[in-house]
Amino acid sequence: MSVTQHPKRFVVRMVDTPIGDDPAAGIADDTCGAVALFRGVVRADNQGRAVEAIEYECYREMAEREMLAVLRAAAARHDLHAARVVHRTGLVRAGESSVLVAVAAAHRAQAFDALRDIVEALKRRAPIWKKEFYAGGESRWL
Amino acid sequence: MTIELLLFASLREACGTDRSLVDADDDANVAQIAAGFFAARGVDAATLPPYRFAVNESFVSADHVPGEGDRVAVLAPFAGG
Repeated sequence: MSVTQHPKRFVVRMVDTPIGDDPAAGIADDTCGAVALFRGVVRADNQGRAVEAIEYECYREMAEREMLAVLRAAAARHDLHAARVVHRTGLVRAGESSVLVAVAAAHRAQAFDALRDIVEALKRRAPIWKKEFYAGGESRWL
Repeated sequence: MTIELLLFASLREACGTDRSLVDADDDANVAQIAAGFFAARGVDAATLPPYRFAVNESFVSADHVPGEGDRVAVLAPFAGG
């Protein structure tokens, strides 16, 4: 088992305003050799239908708790120095960001592996739902 | 016992409410409580997506028996990201 000197830093935020350009700013210190980012974006097409926007709804208390647990588990597995998740709620237009995940680690392999693990786990564990709004006015929960 | 039943997204829309106080038998499990709630609201459970449960923000199995004052959430499949 490795011994880490850095403090573990984990941040989870559900936000109802646009995710900024650089929500990962300051995540790394000089012990980090890698920062990896994933940004999920609302796609303007889903199975041939034109998507105008997605509305995200969450069970906030549980979503934050689950996402924090996901970050801590990934940090333990991959020896992350820090990790952040920012996830949108409310209406997100096509082309806008729905989620951002950022991780910092000593080495790139740890950062890449952790990033994928976190994104996949969030989809399984965080109580978040989305309703797609299509051109023409129809909508449906996915 | 009285529990707080929480609904979100498609389940909230189907039931027309996001939060209800529900009187349930002391030995009723979360699946029975949810089924009774849907029936009382005239919601055909067969039209709902598959769902699972959380109590006080932690996942539980369908046969979990909640306690007085617990928050019981009925959760449709997640779609975050």
